[in-house]
Amino acid sequence: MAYRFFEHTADIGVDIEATSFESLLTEGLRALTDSLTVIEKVELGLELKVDLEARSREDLLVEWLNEIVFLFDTRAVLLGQADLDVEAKSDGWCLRGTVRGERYDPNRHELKTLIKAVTYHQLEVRSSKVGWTARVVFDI
Amino acid sequence: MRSGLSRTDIQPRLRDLVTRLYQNIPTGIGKGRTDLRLNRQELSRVLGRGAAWAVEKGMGVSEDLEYLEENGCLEGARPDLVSDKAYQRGRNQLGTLGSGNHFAEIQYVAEIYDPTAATALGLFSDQVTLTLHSGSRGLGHQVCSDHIRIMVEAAARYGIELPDRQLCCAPIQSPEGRDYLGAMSAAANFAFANRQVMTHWARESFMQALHLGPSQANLEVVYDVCHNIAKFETFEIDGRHRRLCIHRKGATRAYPPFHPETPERYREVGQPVLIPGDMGRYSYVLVGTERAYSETFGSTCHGAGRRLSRKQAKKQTRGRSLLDELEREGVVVMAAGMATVAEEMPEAYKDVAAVVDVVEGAGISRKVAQLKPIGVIKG
Amino acid sequence: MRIEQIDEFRWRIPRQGKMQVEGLVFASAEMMKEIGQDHSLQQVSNVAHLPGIIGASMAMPDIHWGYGFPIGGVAAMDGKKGVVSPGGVGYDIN
Repeated sequence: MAYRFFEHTADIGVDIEATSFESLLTEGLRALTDSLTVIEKVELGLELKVDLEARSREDLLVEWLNEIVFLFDTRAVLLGQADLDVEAKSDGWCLRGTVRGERYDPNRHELKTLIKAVTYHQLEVRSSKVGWTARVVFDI
Repeated sequence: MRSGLSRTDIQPRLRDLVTRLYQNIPTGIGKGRTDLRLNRQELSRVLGRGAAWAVEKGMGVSEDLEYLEENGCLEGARPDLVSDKAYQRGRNQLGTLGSGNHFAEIQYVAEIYDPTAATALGLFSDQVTLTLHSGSRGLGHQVCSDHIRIMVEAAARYGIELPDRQLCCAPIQSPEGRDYLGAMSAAANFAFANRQVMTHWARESFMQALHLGPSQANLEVVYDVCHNIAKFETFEIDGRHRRLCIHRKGATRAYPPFHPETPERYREVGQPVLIPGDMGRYSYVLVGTERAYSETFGSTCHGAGRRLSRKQAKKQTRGRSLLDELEREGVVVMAAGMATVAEEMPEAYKDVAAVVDVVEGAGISRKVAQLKPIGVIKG
Repeated sequence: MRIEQIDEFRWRIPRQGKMQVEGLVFASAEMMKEIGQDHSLQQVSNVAHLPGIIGASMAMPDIHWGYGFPIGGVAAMDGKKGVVSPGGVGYDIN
């Protein structure tokens, strides 16, 4: 499981690799939080439920990461871990689970780059020898 | 905004002024001020009325509205089509600057290229001016995300072949197209209201820091332009009036002299256009031209554009004290995050002068004045 | 991609394939070298494919790569037969 950032002039992209689709989503979350703040300093005492649907795996990845952006923007929570279940439905995919993190504290959390949105640009989700890989670009 | 003050009037109190601005206008991720909390119903009014909402609440004067593109309100805004998530993101963000390339900047008029136009715009040498650069914040980002998702599917359904998925679109007259235009216009109105609120607080900051009455600071809006927008405008093409949906993405409207939308005061010189540069060098005030109207659907450039990625910029600032460097250059900077200052450092941007020279050389705008920064607040 | 210089500050991307209109870029010769380094000219040409686009798919001298539409892009769509694109506005609405 891993992620690696690559950079254009005006935004951040990330390549993600994981053994399962669920852990691919969790790594995506960690990459997003890592670009927001120093992820090692995010404690995991706060727990929130998530419940999302999308037509494809690609859309699900974008929806999921946009949900994290939304939670930060509206509730100021930084998230570091997730327990997720992804199920196939007749018309797409459904994600349920819990995310863990804590409320943003300006005294402890250095802010790095704020993310406006997760885009469809260069979006890719593929099964690979390891499990799954994805590429996603954040608008900052 | 132009003021009635000269650079020498504020220089001794510059740091206080920047501090006041920084205290009065929330930046970074900071939520909006506690004295401006909106419930859903009130936010819906903001989305319907734009800048006029703020003026009705006592933030600004009705004359301000004359100097905003579309008078600070897009017709056809549909607050009811803005998603619940967008409402939630917007609720505490009215009257906030945001982060990234957004800023409020105190400047002075460093050079005048066209004295007649400068006089019409109320600009004079060494005059203190203020520029606000901010938009619809999280509410707008959410509206865009919501509709990209819808349009990726819609484009396929309407049989529109897309060379790139992010280019997704729908016919203007389709339900998806109309819904997007309604929601996006509502988000645009949020942006107009957002800047109007901050305009008011900027005026208060001047009065507080410089111990002046409203008429002494005399901060008046020169102009307020959009630069990420799609809206209906009418153009004469081959002798026929046609209603077109003009997309401007990182581009600014630049209407010519005598256009009905150009404010009376600027009738003979054209619509003012503000082109922000980086925080160390300069910005420009231009006016629109007839040639822009006939050739670019009344459009011109927006700004400098990045030269370095954020990471490269941060690398180059390692071990340097940017704030001290800028201060030695005569610019007082206050920012919520030092990372933003590094990412936004002057060298990270192209030289805006080159950009402006091209639009003037091509005849789609005319240079009026150059502004140099002396105080900046950022997210 | 074929690019023709029109005058000191104007460059044309001629219609090819399914482009509905040509591309028109405002830039100096020096800027064109830099602009050619990312995919923003391809994006100008992509926008020219959209149904109902009028005149030209245009780009201002501060053009750089964006999502879908280039940043610094201008496109006029027929009010009845044209399309509207969120990528033509971007995330930072207004």
